[in-house]
Amino acid sequence: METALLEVKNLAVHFQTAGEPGGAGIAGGVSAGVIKAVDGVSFQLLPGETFGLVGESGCGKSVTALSLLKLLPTPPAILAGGEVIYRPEKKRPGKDLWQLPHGDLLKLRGKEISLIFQEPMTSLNPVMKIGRQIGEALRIHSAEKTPAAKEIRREVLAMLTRVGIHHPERAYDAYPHELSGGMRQRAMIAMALICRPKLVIADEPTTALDVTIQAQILELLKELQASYHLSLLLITHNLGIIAETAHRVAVMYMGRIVELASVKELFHNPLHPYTLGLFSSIPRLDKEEALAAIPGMVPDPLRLPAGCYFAPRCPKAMEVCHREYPMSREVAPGHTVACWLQEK
Amino acid sequence: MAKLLEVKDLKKYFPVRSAPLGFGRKWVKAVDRVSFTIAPGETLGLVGESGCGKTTVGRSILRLIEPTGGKVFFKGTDITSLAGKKVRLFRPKMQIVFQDPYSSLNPRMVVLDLVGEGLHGVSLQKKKDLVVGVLERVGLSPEILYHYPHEFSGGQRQRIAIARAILLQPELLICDEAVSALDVSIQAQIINLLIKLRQEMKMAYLFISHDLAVVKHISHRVAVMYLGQIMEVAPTKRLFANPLHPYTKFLLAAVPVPDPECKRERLVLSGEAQMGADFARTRVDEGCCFAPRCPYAEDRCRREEPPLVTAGKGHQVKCFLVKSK
Ligand SMILES: Nc1ncnc2c1ncn2[C@@H]1O[C@H](COP(=O)(O)OP(=O)(O)OP(=O)(O)O)[C@@H](O)[C@H]1O
Ligand SMILES: Nc1ncnc2c1ncn2[C@@H]1O[C@H](COP(=O)(O)OP(=O)(O)OP(=O)(O)O)[C@@H](O)[C@H]1O
Ligand code: SF4
Ligand SMILES: [Mg+2]
Ligand SMILES: [Mg+2]
Repeated sequence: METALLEVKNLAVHFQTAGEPGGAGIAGGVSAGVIKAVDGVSFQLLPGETFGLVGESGCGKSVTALSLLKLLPTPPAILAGGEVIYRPEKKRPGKDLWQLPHGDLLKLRGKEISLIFQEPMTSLNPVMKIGRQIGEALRIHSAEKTPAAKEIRREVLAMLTRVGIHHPERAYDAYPHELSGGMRQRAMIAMALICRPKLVIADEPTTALDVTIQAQILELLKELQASYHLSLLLITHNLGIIAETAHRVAVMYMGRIVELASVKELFHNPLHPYTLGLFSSIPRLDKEEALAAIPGMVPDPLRLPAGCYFAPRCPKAMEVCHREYPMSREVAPGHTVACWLQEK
Repeated sequence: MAKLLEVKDLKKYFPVRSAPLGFGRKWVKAVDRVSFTIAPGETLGLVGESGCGKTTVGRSILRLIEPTGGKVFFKGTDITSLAGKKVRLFRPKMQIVFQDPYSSLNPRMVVLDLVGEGLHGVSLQKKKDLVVGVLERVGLSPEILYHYPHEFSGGQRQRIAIARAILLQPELLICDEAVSALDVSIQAQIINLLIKLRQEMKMAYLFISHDLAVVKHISHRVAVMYLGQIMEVAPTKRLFANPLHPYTKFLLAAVPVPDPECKRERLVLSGEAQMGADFARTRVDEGCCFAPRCPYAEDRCRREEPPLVTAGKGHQVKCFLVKSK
């Protein structure tokens, strides 16, 4: 395998929850304890690839993404363990982002590694004009001498054009709320890319958008990724987006990766019962099939089952599944599955 | 086929916030001359992107908001002209389930009262029996009778909302994004439940959603809305196999297909729908409302409004490019 740009090893992020009086209802409610939001997650991100992270609400996708750059407030988050090795130059040894002095990490954020969120308003400053915000990012991260204001303006306008904004001058002088959702998302992408990062983390970048706008943004991301040779960590709950955008994909369930493979392999030869369940749960435009829903619901994160976390809902669960969590094993090159069915 | 519901020329205009009152005031045409029918036991899907007016259609039918114009007939009775009290007589027959079970269920009421709220003049025992019966129908255990909404997961809350809606055996259930907020594995459970209930209780649905795959899965016929108007309506199979309106084509092409080998024509619609108070459609009512984004628009499309033409059995399209049959 190629040298990874980012290597995440055994990532563990927990939350200490205080609980609520009278918590713990039928569906779990909220009681006190430690939530293992991310529990031993490992994957590699290769240069120039899109790596998808897919799973249902609460499985730990966002926590994984945010913790890579230590963006979670601690407390309540606890960075319980793991390594995040960033290796921008193939020949040199990498550095563990979690061990980096705070100042060095700040320098990387926004410059070499940037983020795109579902809701652009969370990362755009509502009282600063779009052009200035993007220019600011460029100014802060410029290596030695600060470029001239004119130079910055020129670059920002070029980037706004690059992300498909038709009237870049108008957008430059607009406040975020004056733009439509799609345009705001384009502006955020412009801000994320202005410093030519090596790695972009996109957390549900199109979830809040209409499908026709989503299609525009996904095309744009794909195209930018190819032309800038970016590595993209793409988080989504939408398997269609994964199929159309990602090269490799990891499926998460309750804070753990249950299956990881190339997109082709995962879609044609899914092996984990949860992955299979997800596939048979989605209504499709290209097929006519009854939906086979996964029975039951996700367990309370504070009261996880003893064995495989999926066992209570799994149609193939065996005795051992209820006792012990299965090890992840490589069943084909690049295809790993954590399921007792694979232990033969 | 007899009509259960007939919507004729329904309109709902909202005043634009910032505009001055009186002469020259601007309106958002949230629903603009919408007509359709639903037969008993039939599911009509209503799709379209955010802000196109789907929710406003649903709420106007139930008179949760007063339509600006048009008529709604339920089993032949014009319910738009009924006075307040008489509308209530129709309420049990027409129910609605919303997207957000968190806000649509009163947090201070236990399941028994939430689900049984529509029952009047029955003994407690009778109420319990009826509620337990309907809970079982939607896959919930009778043990939850005295629990509060916050104690349930999103999927369970949606089951409770459905139980509440079907208790009085409605003939029409309006589902407004009823499965949109749910995770796929739970969404599939609720879709299957709705399909089962429809068969068991012979209910008709107006199934409102922005998710085309979900709509395709559950509907017998589908209507596609854009900026307050219905652009195309057809039997489901036909609409998805042979969409005729340019907007429908783009909408279908925009849905990501969960198959990495799927090689298909990349149709990406440019521009955005301009609707809502911030955009206050300034266009005079001229031309096709899709013309500003339509790659096939001709001069005529910007001048004249295309009529709704019949392009096949049950298939109607509002576009000059489509020839009537
Ligand atoms: N600030 C917090 N305090 C306590 N628990 C948290 C906090 N943030 C996240 N969690 C918990 O961590 C788990 C993973 O959450 P995360 O946001 O990563 O899910 P996700 O996969 O991104 O879901 P979604 O698809 O809904 O965005 C959940 O159980 C969540 O409740
Ligand atoms: N009470 C209101 N006052 C003013 N404008 C309104 C009101 N309700 C809706 N609108 C406007 O009417 C239009 C249609 O809104 P509606 O909620 O029916 O759309 P929708 O298709 O249900 O969208 P979504 O998919 O986002 O739910 C929108 O432009 C909306 O801003
Ligand atoms: S380990 Fe057992 S319970 Fe878990 S997914 Fe595999 S078969 Fe199902
Ligand atoms: Mg998330
Ligand atoms: Mg709506």
